[in-house]
Amino acid sequence: MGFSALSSQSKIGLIILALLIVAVIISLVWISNLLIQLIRTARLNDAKEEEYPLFADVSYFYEKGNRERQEDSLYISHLDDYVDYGIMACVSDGMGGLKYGSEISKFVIDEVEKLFPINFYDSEVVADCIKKISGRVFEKYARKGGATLVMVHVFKDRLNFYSVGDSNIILIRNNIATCLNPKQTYSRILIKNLTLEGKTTEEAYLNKKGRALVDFIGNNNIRVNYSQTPIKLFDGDIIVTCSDGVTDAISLNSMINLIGNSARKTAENIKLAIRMKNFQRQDNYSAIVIKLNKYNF
Amino acid sequence: MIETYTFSNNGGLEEYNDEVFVGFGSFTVAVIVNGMNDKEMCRRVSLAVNRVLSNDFESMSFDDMTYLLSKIVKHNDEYAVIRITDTEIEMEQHGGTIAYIVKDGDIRQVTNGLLKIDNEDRIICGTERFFKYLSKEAVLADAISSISAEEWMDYLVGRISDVNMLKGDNLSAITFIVRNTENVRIDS
Repeated sequence: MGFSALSSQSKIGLIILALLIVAVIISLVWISNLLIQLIRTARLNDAKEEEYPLFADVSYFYEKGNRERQEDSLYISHLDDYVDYGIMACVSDGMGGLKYGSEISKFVIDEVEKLFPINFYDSEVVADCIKKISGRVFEKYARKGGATLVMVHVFKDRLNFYSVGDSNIILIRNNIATCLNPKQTYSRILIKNLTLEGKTTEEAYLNKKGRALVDFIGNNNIRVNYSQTPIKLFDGDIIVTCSDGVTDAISLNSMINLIGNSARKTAENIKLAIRMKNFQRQDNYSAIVIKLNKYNF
Repeated sequence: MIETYTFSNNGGLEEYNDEVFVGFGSFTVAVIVNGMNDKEMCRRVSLAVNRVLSNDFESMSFDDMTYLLSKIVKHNDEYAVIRITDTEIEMEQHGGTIAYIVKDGDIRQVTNGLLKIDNEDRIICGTERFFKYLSKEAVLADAISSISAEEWMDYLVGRISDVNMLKGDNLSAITFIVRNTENVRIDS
């Protein structure tokens, strides 16, 4: 029986019914949108009340480059723990030229993972734990190998950082990329000595040993560089924690041009930029990108 | 107690025309003169500063000190005068210099006037050329990761060196760290 066979009253009834159904669907969509908005507002208010305005968008890459082995290791804490403990990210770069590079970087990362969750407000204790890890590596490998370590801990719009060696913690803010951690290389000592003599510092860069590490995980009684006070973070800040394979291939200034609208896009852009360079002796290159956003909606 | 470290380097040039003066007493007074573009000005301000510091500067108020200086220097001379105690900093800048304070993990520029400071606050004042290659974030990161005023300066000088090997400009700066004596830790 077709629609035309229905009586005019039935037709009107069906049309009204159809209109009612459409109206109900529209209402449901409208109400659900309203509910979503309300939930978002509530979450936003909660976030403001807790003074917890920055959310972390995280991505990473982990590439071998043109080396035989991957000697970088990395660790990112679970994002599920972000509200309670923040996020911890670290990269360890096994020292090339020494035995056990990859083994030690993995060991370091495993040991650091065991530290989590760490007390955000006592960076001195954390630095001491890193020093002890280095002591254990020293005992086990007797300086036959070593690794660098860079570690960041983001918690409630603040950043703590820890560094041993010459890997990088880069803060990108307002289109300026700044390496936060000092490098523990021999050139730093040469620069200091030259400035004490009132000289310029070309010699420090010409010295063949200038890039040699004066401290690393696996050395005895190391100096851990760390933030004694957490740095305040702002909406849009990007933190790149990476091995020197990244910064040897692309400069800090050029990193600015690789910023995407998400951590994933930024990580992808950096990785592709290094790959495009196609350096014959490209070192392992690994990085963890953390983008801080005010709201994650 | 105020921990202090000064840095001055001629940047490979024949002459060093800036000046950094520090006077210690119950408070610390520092004067930085940006003299690279005007040697005569630097001499004039240096003379004035020496005259002020050789007097009993501790009995002088900051206003008296800056007034005395202003009578000798010229209107467009570039210098900064800082008076710093454990609890406050007073500053008067006359162009050509920049000062920052690092406090609670944040950094901001210090302007003329009086500012309250706390234990572990870190302050740096230098010529504009010293800060030419330093981002605010670099100054901040080095401040909070250094264990002394000297180390903070070393880190910053290292950054400048990485850009220009300290060639081409006179460089002058002074770092301060507020150390309340009861909080000073002595490592064995």
